[in-house]
Amino acid sequence: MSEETSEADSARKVAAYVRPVDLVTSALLLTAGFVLALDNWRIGAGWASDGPRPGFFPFGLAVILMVASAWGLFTAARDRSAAREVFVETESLKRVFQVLVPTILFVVGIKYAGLYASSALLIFVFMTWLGRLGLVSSVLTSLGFAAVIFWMFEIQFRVLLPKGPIEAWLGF
Amino acid sequence: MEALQSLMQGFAILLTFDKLSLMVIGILAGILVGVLPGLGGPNGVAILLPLTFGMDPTSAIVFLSCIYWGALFGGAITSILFNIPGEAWSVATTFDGHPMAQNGQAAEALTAAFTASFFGSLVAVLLITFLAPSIASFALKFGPPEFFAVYFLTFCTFVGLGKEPKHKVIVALVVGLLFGGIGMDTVSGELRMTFGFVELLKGVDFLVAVIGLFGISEILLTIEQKLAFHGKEARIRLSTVWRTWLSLPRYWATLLRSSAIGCWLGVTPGGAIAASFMSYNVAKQFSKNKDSFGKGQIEGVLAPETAAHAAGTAALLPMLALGIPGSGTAAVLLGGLLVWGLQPGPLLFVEHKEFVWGLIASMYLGNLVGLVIVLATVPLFAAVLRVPFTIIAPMIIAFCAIGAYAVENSLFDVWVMLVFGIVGYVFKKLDYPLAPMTLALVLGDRAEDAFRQTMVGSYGDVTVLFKSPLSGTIMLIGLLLLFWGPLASGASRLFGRGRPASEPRPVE
Amino acid sequence: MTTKAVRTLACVTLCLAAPQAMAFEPSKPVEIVVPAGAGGASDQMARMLQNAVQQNKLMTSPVVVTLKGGASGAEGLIDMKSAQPDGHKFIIAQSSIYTLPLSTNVPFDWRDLTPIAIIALDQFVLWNNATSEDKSVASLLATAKAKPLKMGGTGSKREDHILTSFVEQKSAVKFAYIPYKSGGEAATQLVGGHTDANVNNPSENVAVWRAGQVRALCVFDNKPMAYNTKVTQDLSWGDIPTCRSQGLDIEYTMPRAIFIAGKSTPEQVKFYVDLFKKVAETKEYKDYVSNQALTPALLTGKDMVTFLETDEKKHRELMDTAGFLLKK
Repeated sequence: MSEETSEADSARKVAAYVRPVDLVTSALLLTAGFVLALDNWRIGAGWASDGPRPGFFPFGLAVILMVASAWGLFTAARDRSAAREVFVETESLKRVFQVLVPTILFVVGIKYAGLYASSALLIFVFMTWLGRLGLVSSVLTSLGFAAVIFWMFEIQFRVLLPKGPIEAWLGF
Repeated sequence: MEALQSLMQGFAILLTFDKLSLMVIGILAGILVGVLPGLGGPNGVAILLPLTFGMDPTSAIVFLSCIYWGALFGGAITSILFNIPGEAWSVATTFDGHPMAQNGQAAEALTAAFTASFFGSLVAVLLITFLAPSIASFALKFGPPEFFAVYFLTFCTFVGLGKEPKHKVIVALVVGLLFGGIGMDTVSGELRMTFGFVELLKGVDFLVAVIGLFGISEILLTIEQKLAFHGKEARIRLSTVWRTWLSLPRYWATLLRSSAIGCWLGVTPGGAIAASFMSYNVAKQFSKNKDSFGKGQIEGVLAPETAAHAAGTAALLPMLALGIPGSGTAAVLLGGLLVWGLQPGPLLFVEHKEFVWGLIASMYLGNLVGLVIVLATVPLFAAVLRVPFTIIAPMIIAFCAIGAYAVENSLFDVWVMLVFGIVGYVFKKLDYPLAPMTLALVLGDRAEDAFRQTMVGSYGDVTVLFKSPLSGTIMLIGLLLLFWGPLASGASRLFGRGRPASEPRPVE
Repeated sequence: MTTKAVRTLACVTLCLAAPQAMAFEPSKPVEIVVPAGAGGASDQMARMLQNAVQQNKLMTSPVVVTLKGGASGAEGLIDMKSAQPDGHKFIIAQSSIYTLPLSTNVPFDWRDLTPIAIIALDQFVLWNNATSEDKSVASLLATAKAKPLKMGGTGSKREDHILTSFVEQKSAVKFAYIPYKSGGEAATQLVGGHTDANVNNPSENVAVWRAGQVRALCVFDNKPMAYNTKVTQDLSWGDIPTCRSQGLDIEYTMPRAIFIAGKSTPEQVKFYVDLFKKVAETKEYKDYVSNQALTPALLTGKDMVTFLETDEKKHRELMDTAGFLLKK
């Protein structure tokens, strides 16, 4: 994502305009198309006696992707009106990251602490930090949620979800 | 009428306290697994299968099929409220169902979805009751060319939708198709686009991608606006149900058309997955309010739900009559039948009459009981939207992670889901349409397999697609739809100014 | 939940009765990894095991089935390879443990796992459509020589495909092999006349055989199957002649093998070997093998390893001739 900051548009700060984001996305798609086209060319993109070879369709698609995203690059570069169009304001982007960063940490946490502990922590962080809700209700909600899903998945439905040291300590 | 008589016997088997309470429990369990993303459908039924090992076959199948109906109903709930489709068949429900919820019409959307589901499966059960043997043999007519033709037609109904820039529609479609192609290729057994990553061997599961694309990206978009859900101020009363019902007869054409599409694709093995997409697109094409689709149009909820339920029900027919499952869930039920020592196939109707008609009767009763239960819970589910965002959002994220994990028990999939969440967020903001991308993810590799199987059988001769009457007809309908716009405008220009129309290139 | 009460009760009785304190016993749910899709043959076998263990209380811990059918089952194999050797996970494997690494660059070798037992052998039968004029193997091959026939099967460069190529090598005919996603699909496609023949396992075709929609031409084994109860109107599994007696000198079977994680302890191995010996005595297992027309077998320890090594060697040769080996 483009991190280009510019002077205040009117009153609000803008984190990114549509045009640079559009350009970067198209460029990324173009690169992806190129890499995929190469890989599929490698495994055979021709038409054998018994029909298309494995790389035939993906190669064609990758080429179409390259053409379409090149066209996207071209139109985005020419489109002056989009230059002033706001993609995301700084204030909003901050909020998005306030959700995205804990979510990424949550997924990292699943591996080490297990899914239940990690979800409880996620809910706790959301409630206290973002929601500014009471400490007691936050603790109760997050632990209660973890307990209920644990009972439902592990005990009732017997779906084994990732568990960490806490569950091992409890004997699961 | 022999069928009617047998059906009455079936009802007689069911109308006992034991069986009825088993149905209620089954439906409740089904709604629960349907609501939890990643557990609905085949997974949910597979998880609950061991509970039935001690039961007699009739009780067991009644219980399992009720779980199935419950899961079908439940799938609509998260699609509408949180934009998270739990199953392939509920993806199209999000297109209009979630916007309705955002506009404060969550209760209307849920009522419409449930009622449409009930209607669709009622039509399909009637079909099973009276036409089972003749319809079953129809499924046998489908070979690779016919399958390809059906998928082709589904893609064709999609073209020309949406006002997004054309190159972005193409990019979305192609990206979806490419993602669908990752992993092992069925026809050659070779690995494609895995770049040496062991985790990519199995490919990108459609559900994992969709949970990210819709669920996670929705949360990011919501939080960008403000820290709350839209439409939370909606007031929900049970009278909403009546009001919605009174408005439904107006859409009789949509309901009937969608049921027909659903039944047709349901008995076509492997076709059930396309039903809700095709039905949505067709409803949009025929609607007078074409432009309001995608913004919270009730027809956009009715059409996919009717078709999904009709297809889900009809998919049981080839399973019972031929022993071939029409859908993933039907495949698990099939496994269940074998555990109880029943051999599905043409002889099941003869050898285990009581079982078959008990099951068919349970389709009527189960759906009716299911409808009552889910309608009673509409206010409850809609009230979930009033829970503060900072509490419900992390829970949704946790459920998305569980759903993504449970599909294949893979932590890597949770990362894939997260990446798709960010992609979905950026794509939505940049006007890349997500609907064609999901359609491509679901049907892309199936369409490719069918095409290449056709080619192996015909030694690379493409014209074989038009040689059999069935596939030829479906292909022609598809082509007609594809070029309908240009053809119509070309014709009008021909009679008007006489300038030739430029035909857009068909999208692969 | 009553089942739970029963389970607790079972645990109490069994735990008290446990003779040696040192023996391994699972302490949490045991996971069966099924490297195939829902409803397929491996999945059905897993459900049977789950049922047999649960009904006969062979184990105190519950059994959970995990489907990992991605990439023709490679996903399940890889998962098993990276599993912890804690004795709470086993896999129901089949020939794909050697065909997959031989034909693709899937990083897997069955020697990375700990073999427990081969619990059954699956047969392959040559089938054609019941309405076809070709009523014998010779007649089918003669037709195939005159015009190319379509042979359906599950997946590419796997059992069905390898066997098809085996038939081609032995009889000097050529089939157009069409890979489908499952044996069930291959069966229906044969009934619908979209293919001319297939080499499905008995269980994959039994429904359509009983309905008189397909014809069993011969079984790829050295002797006919041992089941003599009538399956169709007038035929039993045992009435299908061997392919060798029909002039097609081919033997091909598929083991259904159980493995636990690599580097498992001898106690864990002993527990599972004993478990499967007990399973093989249950009514559920016996019903299952006869319904699916599997050949009951119980190979453990060295016998099993020898069997797998011989079978792997055979596959390597077959696949080499067919050109299915990975081009390095």
